[in-house]
Amino acid sequence: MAGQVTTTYTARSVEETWQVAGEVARLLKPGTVIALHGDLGSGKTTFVQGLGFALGLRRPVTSPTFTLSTEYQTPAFKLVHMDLYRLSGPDDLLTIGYPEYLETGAVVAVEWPERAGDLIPPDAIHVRFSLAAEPETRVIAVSAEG
Amino acid sequence: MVVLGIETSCDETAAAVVEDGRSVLSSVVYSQVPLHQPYGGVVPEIASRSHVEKIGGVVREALREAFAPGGGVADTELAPGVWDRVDAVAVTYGPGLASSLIVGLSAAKGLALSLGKPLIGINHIEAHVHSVFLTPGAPDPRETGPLLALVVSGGHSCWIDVPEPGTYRIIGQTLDDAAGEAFDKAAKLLGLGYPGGPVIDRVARQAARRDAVAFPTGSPRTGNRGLGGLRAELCVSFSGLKTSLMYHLRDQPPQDEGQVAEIVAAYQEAIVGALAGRCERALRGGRYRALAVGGGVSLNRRLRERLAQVASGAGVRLLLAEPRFCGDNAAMIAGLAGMGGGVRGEAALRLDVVPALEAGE
Repeated sequence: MAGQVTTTYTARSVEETWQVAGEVARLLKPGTVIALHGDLGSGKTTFVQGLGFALGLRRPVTSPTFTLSTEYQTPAFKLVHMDLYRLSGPDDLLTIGYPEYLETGAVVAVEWPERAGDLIPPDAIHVRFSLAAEPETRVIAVSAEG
Repeated sequence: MVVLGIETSCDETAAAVVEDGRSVLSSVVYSQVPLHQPYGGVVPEIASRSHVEKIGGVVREALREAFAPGGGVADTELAPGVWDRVDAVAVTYGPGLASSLIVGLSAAKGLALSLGKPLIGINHIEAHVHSVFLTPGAPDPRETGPLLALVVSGGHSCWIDVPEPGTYRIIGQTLDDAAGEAFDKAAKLLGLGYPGGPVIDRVARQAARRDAVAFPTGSPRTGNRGLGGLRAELCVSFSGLKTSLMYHLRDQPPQDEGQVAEIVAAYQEAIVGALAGRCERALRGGRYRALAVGGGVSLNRRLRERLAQVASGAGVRLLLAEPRFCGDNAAMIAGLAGMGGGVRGEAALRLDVVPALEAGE
């Protein structure tokens, strides 16, 4: 995306994925959307766990698959973790409180952001996960406004 | 006390009538599984719409079964006086899908107000703990002594300390995927269909061995970090297991049904081992008199075998819910309300749905 700078990391363990999340946590301001791209098992939830920890959260960040969206109050912002996998389209996003979260200054981490269509704002941070050939190793590409 | 219970937290529309907390007069469950099957998971919009369509009929059916058994199925009218026999209306207000919960809560509020009966708001997880007491022959919860409860389903996997009825504290939980979700995701990766739990249970039993693949043991990979008041040794993590399955399928794709069964059996063994192992740890020290296990995943036959071993090794009684009360149902909701549990009085009428409600909250 124009105006965005991409940094690519290689994470060889959960700890390293958390470190990358810690880097991304420093870029956050109220209302930031983090779009998480990657297949089942590519490390998206692990990344959000690291993000929560970096933001000072001291309770587990679990998979949002069941309730679609989970809210956590961190010392700095409300962190919202959404899984759009089972949404049928952008309209559904309106019914689970997405616009309200952004208006009230929450940071929203979105799994399966392609389901949200153009409801992902142009200044969102995009994080792309892919599996490397070596076991437990992931390539994490972070694109953010330069 | 006769309680009408209503449950719509996820993809089952359920109503039940329970007397004095334990005597189930009726339990009606309309399952939406076939509606969600094509999507490989519960679709909130479909779930919510279906709850709205079914709730009226399901409630009438529960009342008819409880008070006029043998009546014609086509009979949509209730006999006069049926409503008078209900003393209170209980309903799940969380956790679950907001758009599903709201259907049951609105229906229950409307019924309670129009009938002039009290409304009781029930925590779905705490109700799963109570489900074990609905089985004929189960002990009285007031006489069971301190319980360790495991609630394990598609949305939840947690260990709860229940020192006495009505007091709940989560001491361990999954740090990422629920056990049922881990089964669903594996079934998806293996192309076995949805929901994953029953098919994995079935396929695993066809395997020649359970140790063909060494999957991770479900131990948290993040140490003690960010756990709050939970005990790390009582927590599990299933996301590594799912990743490991993905790598296995990529690097050594199964060549025949026998190999698929062996992979499934090894995967199930890792999950069951993690669940049973945490129970074993939590039971050490002799604090508990019983191990109570509820939720849809507690139907898994291998899990039941392992839990029986753990309970007998620890010298505690194993309390399992009847199969019809393992999955989501309203009998456990009406039952817990009838035992005095839940949010009662004026506060209940002010309740809103709480999608992320935790046990003991």
